[in-house]
Amino acid sequence: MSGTTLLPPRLALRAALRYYRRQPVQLLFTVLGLALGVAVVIAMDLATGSAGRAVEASARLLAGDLTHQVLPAQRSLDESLYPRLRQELGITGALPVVEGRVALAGERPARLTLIGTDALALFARRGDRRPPATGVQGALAGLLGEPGAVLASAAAAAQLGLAPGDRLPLAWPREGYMLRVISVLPEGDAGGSWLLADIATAQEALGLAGQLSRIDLRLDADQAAALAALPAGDWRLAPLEQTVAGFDSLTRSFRLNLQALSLLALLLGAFLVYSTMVVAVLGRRELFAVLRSLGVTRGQVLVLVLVEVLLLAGIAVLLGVVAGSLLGAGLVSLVLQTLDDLYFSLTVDDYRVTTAGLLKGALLGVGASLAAALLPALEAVSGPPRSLAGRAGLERRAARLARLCAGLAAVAALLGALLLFSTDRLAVALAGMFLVLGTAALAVPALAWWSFGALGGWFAARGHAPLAWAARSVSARLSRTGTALAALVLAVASFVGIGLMIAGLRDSVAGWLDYSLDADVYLALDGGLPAGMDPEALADGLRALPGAAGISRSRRVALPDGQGFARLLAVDADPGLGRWPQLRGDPSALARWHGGPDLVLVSEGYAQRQGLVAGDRITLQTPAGDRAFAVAGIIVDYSTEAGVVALPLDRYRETWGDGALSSIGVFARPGQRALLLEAAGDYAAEWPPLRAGDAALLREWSLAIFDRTFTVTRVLQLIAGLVAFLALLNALRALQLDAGRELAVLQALGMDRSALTRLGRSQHLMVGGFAALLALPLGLLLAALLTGVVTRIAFGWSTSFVVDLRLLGEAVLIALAAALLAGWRVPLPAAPRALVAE
Amino acid sequence: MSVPIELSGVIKDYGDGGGSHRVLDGVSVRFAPGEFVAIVGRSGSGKSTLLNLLGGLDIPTAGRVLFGGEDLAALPEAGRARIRRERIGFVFQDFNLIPTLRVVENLLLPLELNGLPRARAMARCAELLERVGLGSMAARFPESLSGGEQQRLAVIRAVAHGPDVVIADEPTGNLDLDTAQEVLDLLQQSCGEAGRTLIMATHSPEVIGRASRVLRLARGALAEER
Repeated sequence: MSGTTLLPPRLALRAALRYYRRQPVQLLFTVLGLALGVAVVIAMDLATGSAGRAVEASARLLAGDLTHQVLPAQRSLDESLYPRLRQELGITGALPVVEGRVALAGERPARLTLIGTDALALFARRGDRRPPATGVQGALAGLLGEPGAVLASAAAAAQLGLAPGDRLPLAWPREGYMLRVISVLPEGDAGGSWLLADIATAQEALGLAGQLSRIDLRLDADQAAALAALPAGDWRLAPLEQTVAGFDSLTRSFRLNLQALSLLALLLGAFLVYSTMVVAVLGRRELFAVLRSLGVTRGQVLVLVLVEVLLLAGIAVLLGVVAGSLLGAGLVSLVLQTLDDLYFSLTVDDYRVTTAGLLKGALLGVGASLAAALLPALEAVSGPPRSLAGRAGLERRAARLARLCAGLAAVAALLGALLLFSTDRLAVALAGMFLVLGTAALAVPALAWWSFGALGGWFAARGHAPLAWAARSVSARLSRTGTALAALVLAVASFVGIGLMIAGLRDSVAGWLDYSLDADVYLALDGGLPAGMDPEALADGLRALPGAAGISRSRRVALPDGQGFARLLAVDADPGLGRWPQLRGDPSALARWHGGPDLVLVSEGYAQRQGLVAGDRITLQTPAGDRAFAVAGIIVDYSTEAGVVALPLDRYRETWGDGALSSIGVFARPGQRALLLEAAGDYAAEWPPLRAGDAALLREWSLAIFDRTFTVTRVLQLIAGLVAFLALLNALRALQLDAGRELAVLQALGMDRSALTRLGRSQHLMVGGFAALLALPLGLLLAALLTGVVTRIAFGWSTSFVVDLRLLGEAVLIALAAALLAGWRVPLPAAPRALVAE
Repeated sequence: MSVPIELSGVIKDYGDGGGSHRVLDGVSVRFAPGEFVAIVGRSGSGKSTLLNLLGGLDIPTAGRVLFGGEDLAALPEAGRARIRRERIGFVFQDFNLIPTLRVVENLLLPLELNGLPRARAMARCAELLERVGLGSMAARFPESLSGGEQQRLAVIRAVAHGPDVVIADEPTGNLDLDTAQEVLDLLQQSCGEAGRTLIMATHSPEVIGRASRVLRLARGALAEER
């Protein structure tokens, strides 16, 4: 007998599923909400996974069986170091590497990593590492025989449709230089899209003649000790595990933030699904009660709901997987581009949809929807089935539950605040932030119950009985509207919070750029000085340019701390010129820094990583041995997450004996900027390899990189906006579901159809307005926590808090637009006869 | 075969958060197999509560509801569901048909729940639908039926699986006089033929006139009126 099993009768299942055929909008919301949640999780997982794999592959490619690397102290190594290591020190396990990005021109416009190495040495190394892959040894040998010859990785060949013999003209950095694919490497070599060339080809293509990016080494302990004992020059020795760990720590905050964003997306998706399921399940309490009166057991009803959810989740997960993979493809390129822009040149362009990633998204989607449906399903079958059509008890319980949740919210808020303000660990801060969001979600139903009840009373006292009905019916249907309103408030708040965080960061970066790019024209000297010109002669030449008021000079090198990620910045400017640096805190620090012999300024990021405050001391390696410097003050710097240590240029030169410059900024006299720009351009053209750049363009370019970095975040912000929109529609649908009879009463009492439509729209606007009113302060709070706590802990940066009125307006607009859209066609009873059966 | 139903010292309280309200206060009564009992009383006197307890849709705060000797209050929910499924049929004032099932499917549902083979169930449905003049409407959804047609469908759904007892809560309350009479005839006929007990809450003098026994519910107590 079917009643004795947990399997629901076939007809009961049919009855339940036909509900969606009659409520296609409900079906659309359910599937869309769930699919959106799954898609975001899969996309974010793809993005974070790819970022992780990219870092790992870069590290693996670096490490291999290597033990150390020789890295440039400045931008690049002189290639003469390589034969010296082999010949003078007898280090045979050495491999020189030149690496950089190239942009292809012609039919295959794409950006790839070009790796140049000593083909002969690589040939020898491969032989002792593993059995040679078919044809690879021959191909390596082929690199030597032909200028411009490259081997394409399997991924690059697949991505660009490359075959041996293809010609690849470069668009950048050496326009017109022609590469030719002589072979495609088999899969299984280091993954990713890259081209491998002999070192001479790579140097020529990248415009790095005579220079190396690094030298990979395989050293035994004695060789490592001997090399470490050599006097420091323009290179330094780094153990590989340090490099790999550095990569990992550099990107950890970024990846953790991505994961936090994907969790936030999941939370929003789950809330949307939950509110949708609440409406779908509670809207059928009568059906479930009838089924139970006919003898269907509580367990069978529960299974029926869960089967229905599984079916819906199955469809939604399929859609979500497709949408997530597409969204993921976009996010992966954004994330990798960000890592590439901010951290290092990645050797892989990795986009891989893994079974595990898909499974995670699908399981999370199905799990979230099952969990979301379980509570309302339990509610629907709790207690005896006597209450056929009786909703009063349910609403009383919903109001009691809302009040209980508000109490819990207070405890959660306290806990969240404690976590946020008592930690310097990012994971704990994020947990605190999610607790704050949870608090808000818990408090929304109680606030709605109270607010709409009070609003109803206010209308009633002024004789607006229909409006009083409109307001009170929101609180009277709390069992259905409560969670939808919570989802709505949470989504709008996330939209506002994330948007304000980005606005704040952007404002801070723009402010910092005003300080750092304070001159009008910059000349980059990375390629070296013109033949026969010393830095002082160059400085004088630039000061004498038409329209020039003076110059600033800077030298930027890897901080000699053995880790190689932080930067040492040495700066000076002609008297009365320049705004750099942007100080955080005590303004007198700058004067002290200029005056004191052993004083440095450190960036917020460096100070946070090293646990420094003004007055502390740091030790830096100098040619004369370790030397202690006192921290005069903290400066703002967003150029690198690892941080910056700054000191006056003359003190740097005196201490390190390095007279080179990285760039020179030229300041224009008032009104003579255009003249100076033209003159600087002519000057640079006359003295290759100088390059002149307009500071305004550099600023624009920097902000473009910032915008690209935060595109992932913006995508999530848009998703939050979409969730908000759907949640509001859902809340309004919940209101409309069983209001037909009440509307019929109003109609019977004399309200015409247009008056009823206006009343419905007023009710929707009240709901939209309530959501916006609650979400705006919560969004501001979220933004304050993201910028004031999370960003500070993740990156060590303090950023400004910007109240972007346009963004706040957009949030209100989303809420009101959805309200108006849902209220465009208020479903009205055909006639007052809806009041009676016949 | 029909069974006796007995209420013994039944008390039912409802709580609304601010205290509790006693609806039934020590009700004891016995319903003999095959009898037609009308329960009357003012609105809110507890008639529906009494029917809910008799049908195992609710459980008493105190006392016993014995259905063929089995105490419904002592049974687990699944046990009460089994009795509802196999031995009781319900007819409600608002019909409570399932709007997402067609006419024939509404009728099939109790038979499917009781494990009747599909072919036999279909034959039984066809016979019942023809009997009440709904044969041509089998494929329609309930909302397209008139009130009288819906209630006729509800009545045959209540008896389709051959229950011992039919419990009807003001089944004619939403119907005009002629239609009410038709439904009443159908109910009485369906129960009388099979010797099943019919317990009906009502305000209708027509029903009261037809019942073999009338009980009046007032202030939580049940009194024999006729």
